[in-house]
Amino acid sequence: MPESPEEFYARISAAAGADGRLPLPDMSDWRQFPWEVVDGTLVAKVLQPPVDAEEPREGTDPCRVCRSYGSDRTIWENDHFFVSMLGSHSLPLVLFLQTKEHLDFPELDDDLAAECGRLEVTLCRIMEALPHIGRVHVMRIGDGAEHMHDWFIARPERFAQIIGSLAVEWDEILPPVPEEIRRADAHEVARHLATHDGRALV
Amino acid sequence: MPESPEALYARVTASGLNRTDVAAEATFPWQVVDGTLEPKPLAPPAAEPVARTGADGCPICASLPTERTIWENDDFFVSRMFRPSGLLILFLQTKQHIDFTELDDDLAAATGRWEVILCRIVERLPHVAQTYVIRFGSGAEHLHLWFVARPDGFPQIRGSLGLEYDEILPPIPEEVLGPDLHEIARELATHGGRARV
Repeated sequence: MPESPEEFYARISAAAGADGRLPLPDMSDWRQFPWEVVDGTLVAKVLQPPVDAEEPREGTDPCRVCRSYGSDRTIWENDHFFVSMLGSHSLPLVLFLQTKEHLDFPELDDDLAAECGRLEVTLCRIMEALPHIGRVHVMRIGDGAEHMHDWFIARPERFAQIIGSLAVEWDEILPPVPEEIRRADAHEVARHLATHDGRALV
Repeated sequence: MPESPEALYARVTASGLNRTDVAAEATFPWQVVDGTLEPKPLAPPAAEPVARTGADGCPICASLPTERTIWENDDFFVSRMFRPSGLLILFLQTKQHIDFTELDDDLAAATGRWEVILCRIVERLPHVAQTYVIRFGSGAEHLHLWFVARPDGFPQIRGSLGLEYDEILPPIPEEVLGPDLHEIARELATHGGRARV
């Protein structure tokens, strides 16, 4: 099961420096990171002029989502969808719901959209029912790869700082969840999902 | 239609960015220490979970008959953002006061279909690059899915951090937003339900 808030906090405190701080993550160097320090004050970065054409998303050649199907990151599948783990994460559990077919989210037909809705609710419910999970965020962002991949991000309970839209940033700040804990939780989620439909693969 | 990247950039440049005191917000993860950006230390867990807005005084239930609602059918309604916003943001909500995890199979299937339809409609507006569909559910227990249109042409505004530009960019002028909401509601109603703007 996921760590209790006290275990989670103890592991993070052990990784932090004497002042309780974790190292500044790489994220602060990302082009998309909105903040910078100017004259000692935190301000939003100046918006740069628009570009003529955006960098394309990952398409079909090659598609990381297509290639990940069948890898040891896949924990569950049915005829149309598969669920994968993120390679490493620092919030308690991060999973993806993906179509087997290389489709973008707006391209789902009525039947796949309905099945997607049912699986979103089922997977969210299963993850939220794990001990020590506060809430599960379900997100379609879609800016990186065109192949549909809904994020399911479980945030820990009882941390007033790790809540809402900014909670995902803690996934870059905190140290990773130990492999044996996240694998065991993914197994439990896959087993539960398979009681509704499809097959557990872990 | 939404502003072109050039029009958006001109407006933002003219009015400046909102630089609100975000660092003071409890859920903002960053602060400046000795002139350097640092992640805030994580405070120990609280004894109780953070409370959400429940059924008593639910702002989502109360918002249904208001002018924020742009579309409805028997089970769902779509509302505009509850405050001025730098990004085009809509909410898909159930009429019944239920949490996302409480949806039965039929409502979950209908939610999935409306997610895809609304995402597709917003994404097809000119100058919209991508539409995010998000369930957080940490503020209110009543189901409310966010639909956030990311403007085209700004590599800084991309990915999950793009949502922060809702508060960084100056609010979209009403004369731009109003017609877009009307257009979205009209297109939604071609699939079912009734446009209200």
